[in-house]
Amino acid sequence: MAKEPDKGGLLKTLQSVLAAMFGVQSERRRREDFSSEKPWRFILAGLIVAAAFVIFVMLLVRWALSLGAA
Amino acid sequence: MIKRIWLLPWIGLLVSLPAAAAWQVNLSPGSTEIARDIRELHMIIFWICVAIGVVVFGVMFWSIIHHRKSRGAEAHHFHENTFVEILWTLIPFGILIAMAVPATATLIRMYDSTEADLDVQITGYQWKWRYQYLGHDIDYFSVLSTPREQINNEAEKGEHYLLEVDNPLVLPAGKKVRFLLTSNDVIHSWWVPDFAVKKDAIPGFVNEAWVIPEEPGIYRGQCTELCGKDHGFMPVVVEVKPQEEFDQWLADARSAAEAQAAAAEQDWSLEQLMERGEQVYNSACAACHLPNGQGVPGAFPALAGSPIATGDIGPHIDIVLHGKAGTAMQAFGAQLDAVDLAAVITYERNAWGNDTGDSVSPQQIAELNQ
Repeated sequence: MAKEPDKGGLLKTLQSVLAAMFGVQSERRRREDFSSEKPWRFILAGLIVAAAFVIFVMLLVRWALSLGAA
Repeated sequence: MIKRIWLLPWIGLLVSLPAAAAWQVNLSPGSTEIARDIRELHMIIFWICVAIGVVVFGVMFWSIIHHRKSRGAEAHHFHENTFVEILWTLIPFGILIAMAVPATATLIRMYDSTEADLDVQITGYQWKWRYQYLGHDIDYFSVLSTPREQINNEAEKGEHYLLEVDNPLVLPAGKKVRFLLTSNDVIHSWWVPDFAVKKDAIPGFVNEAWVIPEEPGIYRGQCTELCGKDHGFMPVVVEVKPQEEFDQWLADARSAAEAQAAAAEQDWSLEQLMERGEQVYNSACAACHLPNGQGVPGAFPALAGSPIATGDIGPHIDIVLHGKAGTAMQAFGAQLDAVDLAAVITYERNAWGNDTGDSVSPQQIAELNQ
C-alpha cells in the first residue's frame, strides 16, 4: 500500500486539500496521503487553493457592497 | 434538608424576577429605522442561540439520563465518523451564513453616511461635548447641568439626574444628519441608544456616523469610553425639532452668538464680572478645583491663596487661556467667550479670600486670545 503509485493525481490532491481546508478527512485517505512520497504537490495545491479562497472572499465582499450601494 | 441546598440559587432567581422586569437589560427599542433593524437582528440571533442551546443541551441531558450507568449502559468505543463530522461542520456553517446575510445588509447601511442634509462635528473634551454645525457658524459646548447639590447627596436627585445638559444638540426631524466625531484630549465615545449610534471620538481621527431622527423629542445618552475622572458627568442630550422649529433655532442661535460678541464690547463692573464669574466657575472649573477653590490635594491645585490666582495677573490669564501642558488643566481660550473668561478670572482673583481687587475686561481678554 505504501508503494502504491499516485492514481488520479490532480483530482485526488485537490480533494485532499479541500478536505483539509474543510477540516474533515477520513482516516483511510489521511494514511494514504501521508504515505505519499511527493509532499510538494500538496503544498503547491494548498497554496493555490488558499489564494483562490482569498480572491473568492474579496469578490464576495465586492459583490455584497455593490448590492448594498444599489 | 441538606440535599435540597441546590435549590437555593433557583429560589433566589425566582424571587428576583419581578425586579428584573423593571431593569432594562435588552437593547433600546430604538426610534429610527436603523435602530429598529439592529434590534430585530439582535433578537433573531438571540432566538437562534436559544434554539441551539435548547437542542444541544436537550440532547446532552437526555443522553446523560437515558444512558446512565445504573441502567447498564455501555460506552460505545469508536474513533471517527466522517459523515457526522461533515454534518456538524456544515450545520454551524449554514447558521453563520444565515446570520451574516441580514447582518451585512444592515452594516452596509449603517456605514453609508453619504448624502447628508446636515453635518455636525462632535468633539469630545474632558468632560463635555462640543457641537459645531458645519457651514452654519454655530459652535457651542454642551455641559452637564445637574446641580452639584444633587451629586453630593445634599438635595433630592432629579428625574434626569446626570442625563441633563445646558445646551443640547438640536437636530431637525426627518433629515439625514452626519456626525464627524473626534476628540480634543483622550478617547471618548458618543452614544445615544435610541438612535443606535455609538461611535468612538479619538484625538487625531475623524469617525463618521449618521442618523435620521424620526420623532421630535429629547433623546439622552452618555459618554461610553472611560475618559477620566468625570466620565460619568458628560451626558449627551439631543433635542429633535420639526424642520420649521429647527430653522428658528438656527436663526436664534446665530443672533445669540452676535449678542455675545456685542456683550464683549461693553464695560463690565467688578460686581457684574464676579456674579457671572461664579456661574462660569461652577460649570467650567469647579469639577476639579472644587466650588470652594480648595482643589484636590495631589491632583488638582487649590486656587484659594494660590500664587497664580493672587500673584501677577499675566500668568493667571495665560494658564486659563492656554492650559498647562502635561496636566489636566485645559486651554479654555477656545471653550469660553471673552466675557466668560474675563468674569471667571476676575472671580478667581477675588473669591475665597483672594481679594486682589483685580478685574479683567473682556476687551483685554479678546486682545490676548487671538
